[in-house]
Amino acid sequence: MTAYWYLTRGTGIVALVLLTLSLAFGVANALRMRVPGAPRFVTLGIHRSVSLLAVTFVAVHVLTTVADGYVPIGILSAVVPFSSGYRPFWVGLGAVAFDLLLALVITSLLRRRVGYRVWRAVHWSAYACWPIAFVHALGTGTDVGSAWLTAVLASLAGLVAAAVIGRRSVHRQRISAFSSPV
Amino acid sequence: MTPRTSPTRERGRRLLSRINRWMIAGAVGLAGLFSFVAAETTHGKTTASTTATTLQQPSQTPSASSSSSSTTTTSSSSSGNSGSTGNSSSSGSSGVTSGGS
Repeated sequence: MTAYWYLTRGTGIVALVLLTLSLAFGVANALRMRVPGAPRFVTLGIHRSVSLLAVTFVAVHVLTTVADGYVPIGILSAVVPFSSGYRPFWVGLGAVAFDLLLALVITSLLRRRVGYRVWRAVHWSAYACWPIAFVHALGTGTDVGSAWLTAVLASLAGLVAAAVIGRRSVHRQRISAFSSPV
Repeated sequence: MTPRTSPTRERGRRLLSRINRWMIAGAVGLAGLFSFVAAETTHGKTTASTTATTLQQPSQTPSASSSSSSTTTTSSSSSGNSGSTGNSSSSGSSGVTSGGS
């Protein structure tokens, strides 16, 4: 069904947008930034909501791909990397990103049970999840090369680059503030 | 402590709730928009970019693309949903089957 195919593409891009926003708000929360005029827990709340919404859209992305039935991608290929009969590498990257995202969400929901160190270790993989999902979009994307998708992907890459650079610079400032003599 | 922070907290919760609602609506709307744009720009699944001077026979393009022709072409064409999978290539052309993004 053609509608599924269009939905697959639409939800895939939105999932990447949400993943980008989740990363940006996660960095903002780590830097103790806040939404103007709101308590700091709002930033964390947005980060959580965006992450859950991203998982939802990835799930819809997977389901519509499987339901479309045009390419041989089973539901198992969505979670087992590189097992797809169709473009195993590029689809496999999507499966890796999906698995990482699931691990992130599950450990966050069970944060008190798994402990802070495990949660933090898994949470750092968010920085790997985004580029893997991005490369999956570049390698598998039907619309890659079109002007609108190039603009969207460039904006997302710019936002992530700014977030990562911002986090690193603030981290360095804090280290130098601690190490400098009083 | 509690009476002083409670209104701020309540305001924050209300703001978060409002942001969540708008975010869900925005994400669904954006998915619809992107799906529509995807449907408008690339109709099908096979994006065959032909960048060489070719003389194509109709039988060589089973995808029955509306844009395929038996004349000399230098173009980029996309076939419909019932298009051929895999790299269907004829002389001078390279077919690239694209998946989901």
